[in-house]
Amino acid sequence: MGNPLPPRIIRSGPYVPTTSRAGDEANVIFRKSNLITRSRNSRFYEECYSGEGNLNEDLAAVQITGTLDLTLDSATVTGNGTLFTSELHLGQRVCAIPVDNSNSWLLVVRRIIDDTHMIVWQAPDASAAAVNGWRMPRLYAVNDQRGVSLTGNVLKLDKGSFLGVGSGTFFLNGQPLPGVSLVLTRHPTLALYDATTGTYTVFPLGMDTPVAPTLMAVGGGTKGMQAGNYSIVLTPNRLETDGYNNPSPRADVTISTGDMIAITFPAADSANGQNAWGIWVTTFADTLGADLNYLNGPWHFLIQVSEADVAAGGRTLNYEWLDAEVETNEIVSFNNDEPTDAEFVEEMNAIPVYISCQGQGNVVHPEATSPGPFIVPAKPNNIEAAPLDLAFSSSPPETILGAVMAQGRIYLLTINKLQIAQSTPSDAVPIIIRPFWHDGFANPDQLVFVNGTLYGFPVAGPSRSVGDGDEIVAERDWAEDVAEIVLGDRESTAGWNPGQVLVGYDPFDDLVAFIHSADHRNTAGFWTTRILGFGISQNFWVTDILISSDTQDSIVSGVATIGDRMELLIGGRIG
Amino acid sequence: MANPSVGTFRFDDGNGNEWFLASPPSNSGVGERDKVIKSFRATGKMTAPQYAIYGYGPSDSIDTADIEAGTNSSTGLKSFTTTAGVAQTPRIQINVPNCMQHLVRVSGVWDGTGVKDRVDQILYEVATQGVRR
Repeated sequence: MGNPLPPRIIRSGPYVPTTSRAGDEANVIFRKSNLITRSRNSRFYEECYSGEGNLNEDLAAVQITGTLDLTLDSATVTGNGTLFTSELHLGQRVCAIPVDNSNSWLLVVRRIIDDTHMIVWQAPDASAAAVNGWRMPRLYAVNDQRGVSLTGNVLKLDKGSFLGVGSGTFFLNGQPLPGVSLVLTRHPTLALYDATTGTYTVFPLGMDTPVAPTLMAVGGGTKGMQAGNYSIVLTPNRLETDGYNNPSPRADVTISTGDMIAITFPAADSANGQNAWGIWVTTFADTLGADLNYLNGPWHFLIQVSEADVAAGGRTLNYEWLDAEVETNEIVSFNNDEPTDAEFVEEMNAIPVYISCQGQGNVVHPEATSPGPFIVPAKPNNIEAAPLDLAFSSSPPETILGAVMAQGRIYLLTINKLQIAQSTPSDAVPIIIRPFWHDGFANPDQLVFVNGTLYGFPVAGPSRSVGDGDEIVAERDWAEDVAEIVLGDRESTAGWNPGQVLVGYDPFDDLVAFIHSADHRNTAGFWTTRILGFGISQNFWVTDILISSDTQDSIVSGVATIGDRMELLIGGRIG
Repeated sequence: MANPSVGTFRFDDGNGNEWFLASPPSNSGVGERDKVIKSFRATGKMTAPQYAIYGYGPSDSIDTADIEAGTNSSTGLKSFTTTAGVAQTPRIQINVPNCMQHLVRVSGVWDGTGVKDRVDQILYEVATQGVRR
């Protein structure tokens, strides 16, 4: 009979799976699953994680063209009849499944070489020929709703319209838009809301430059326009955005005092959604002198007129104006170019900013310009125009994989760094971009901003900013508690694959979730996902969750905070 | 064969889950002698709970995969009484000898009904055993 020792009392506390086995460690939790630490200040207890609530929004994965050949332990995937350069995007998740449905692999695109070769983040653990590839969607918040598309994202504009770039059909809370469905492409696309029908019409951004109008002097004016020479240009406008593209060639007319000017409008570019015209005019003062200055503008904004009114007027409408009515109005510019290709769109100061532009293209699609190292803001007063003379490169110029908008800045996830784009008071250099963290990313879903701190999963592992998110230093010591799981032994025992990690924030449980998709297969042969949660209130790791099913893969392909909850896209092979 | 599908899910809004936790290994402050685990009890609201004691002597590998899976423990998985609310369980007398180091693993399966399962405290009694080895 030995001597009694003090009983061992185990209470909840920090989750520290990375600790010595010396036998004299502090009272921490060594291993756990599906429990979340609650409370604070040493009054902790463990509560069951209830699982994932199904929102019953089934979204189909979309099959790629052609098939894939996989080789054991090789990260190079070969396609047969595939269109990698046009169908796939960096960081995109593809679930590869043989025709007999006997297995599956998560392939995260790391580099696209050409239409039939790509490199993925995790080499498959078996060889397989002619397997099907299914593109899995990603998730993002659109106000208080769930936005889903294969890649890219969508913003909700004023008046209920949407602006998006990426790929695949856009789903809002599991449903395509009513009316015309919004299908994203690298070229920015608008879905315009009609409040009378509750439906949408969809157009690519960019309206054709109109031909010059026909002008004629007509009598009957009431404002007393002075005799002289006047010039007019027209812009193709859109009522829903009040935006426009490049103006027509000028048309000139000579009038007598008291005349009006009859404008005969050319055909509108209805195919691209033009439903209005901008009329830009010269002033009487510009007609003075013998050097015909009026021929050179400037053209001041007079009025926006709807295409419906133009059509109702038989395409000819009369206008008159006085100098004081227009001379302080906006002057037309000639660089109202449509936006270039992009991978994402964010808003800074209510201005759309197109992200990951001006890439190198490829042999198959030399015209394609995303992904790339540039961001291109739209004009502040005209969101339809995003000329390349406003483009800014990441610095150093690295391909941008994703973006997070926070604190008036855009955090740009690049292959080797986290960079910051922020606006400046300078008209000459309205945006500057600088490096922030010197550690790169693997996919767009690896950074969140919580209460002034950035949390991310660059390729080196969990990191967060010091202080208010405006520091160059990325802090890593806080993540050492889970390094044994995330990093393995940094040699023979594998940790998490960076390409398969997503990061999200759950306000409900007040934790930052580091999500490792396709962590391992369960006993039924289906992929599971492991989530490590860092408690914001507790300032330590509070949970270790396993998402698993015996009937289908549980591969997380998307995460977003919608209102006060974190929501996930989960799917894969079905048994 | 069904085409693969993807669904939308809300985190921590499901209908129950399996759970477990394990303490780090302890030598009870007497690193050079074996111990015997004499009893076990827990406080919490636990559905279909089980415990397992892992004892380790010199040269025994502390295998975290076993701890995570609940396998190869000194006791095997032992069931104890479900608690309807947060309550202290009765003391369960056990006898697990030869533990130079020891840890406990407690698990359960919340079925999604009523209040969520929780674990507030685990307590087990330890006594020294034998001589230094």
